[in-house]
Amino acid sequence: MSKVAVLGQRDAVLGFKASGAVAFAADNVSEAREKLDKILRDDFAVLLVTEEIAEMLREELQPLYEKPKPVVTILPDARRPKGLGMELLRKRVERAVGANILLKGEE
Amino acid sequence: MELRVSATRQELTRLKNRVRMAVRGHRLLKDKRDQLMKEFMAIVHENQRLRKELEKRLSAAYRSFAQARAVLSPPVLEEALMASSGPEEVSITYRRIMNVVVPEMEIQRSGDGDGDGAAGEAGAVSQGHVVDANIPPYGLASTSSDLDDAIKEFRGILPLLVKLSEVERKIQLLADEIERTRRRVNALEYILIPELEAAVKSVEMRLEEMDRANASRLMKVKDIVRAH
Repeated sequence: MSKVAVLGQRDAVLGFKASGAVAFAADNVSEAREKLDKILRDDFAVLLVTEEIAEMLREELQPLYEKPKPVVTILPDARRPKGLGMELLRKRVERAVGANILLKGEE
Repeated sequence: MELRVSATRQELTRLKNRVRMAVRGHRLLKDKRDQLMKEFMAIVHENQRLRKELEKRLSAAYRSFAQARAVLSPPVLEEALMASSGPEEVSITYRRIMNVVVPEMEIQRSGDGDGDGAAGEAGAVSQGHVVDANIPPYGLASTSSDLDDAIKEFRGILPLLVKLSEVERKIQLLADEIERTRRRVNALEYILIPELEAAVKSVEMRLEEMDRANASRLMKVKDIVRAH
């Protein structure tokens, strides 16, 4: 049995404390790296990161997308609907289909 | 590039068998690719739907949480958050889509009322579904109703986020598989099959040429024999 981790800025993750996820607060790059290490050492099934952290830790997160655990997901953010999360999805669709037919039609 | 083969009948049969095999494999892989694509599209649509819904609900949750935070003092808030729930467990099972192993994740909620264990299903936690009907485990006097709302929101969102993670991982795995399958289909279609067919043709032509050479030699020999 494993758990859900949330990594983000202090304000962003505080609310998740009550949701049943384990919240990790990080306000700068080195702190974020440290917390990520901690998360990876533990047994988490899902790692949710905010857009901001995902941007900070772009390189660190890259190898994780290939691993079975934890599943890294970028939190949807209403302020940035075309953010990194969508970008990642678009890239994957493009690679599989060969063209970005789908997302364009729905915008 | 041309295949180098010896021009014999045995080789010809072998080559023809290989062509037949390659064409069959090609058809199969093409079907696999099309089916994968269908599954992939369905999952991508689901992902977009989930993302949209979560965007809305998350910002709502943040809003009520911000209100709660404005009213409450940090220690009280911290205490309330600590008390409200322990970490949730996620169970992972694996399923196969066209031979691609994909995870299915579900949140196990033990502390809640019955039926909530299946909260991982997106349908079961649609809007307005109250995740925890119990009275909050923190002091009601010292906290505000905004906090109750915020916590309820966040608890309702978590299963959706787990679902989103599952869906995104599926997309990634399927995208890899589709790419791989497409490469194989293309390799068969544009390289292996044309190459084999060219080899069959060249062997056939050489065999025919040898036949003709043989026939004309025989005629010549016949002429020489008759002249004597």
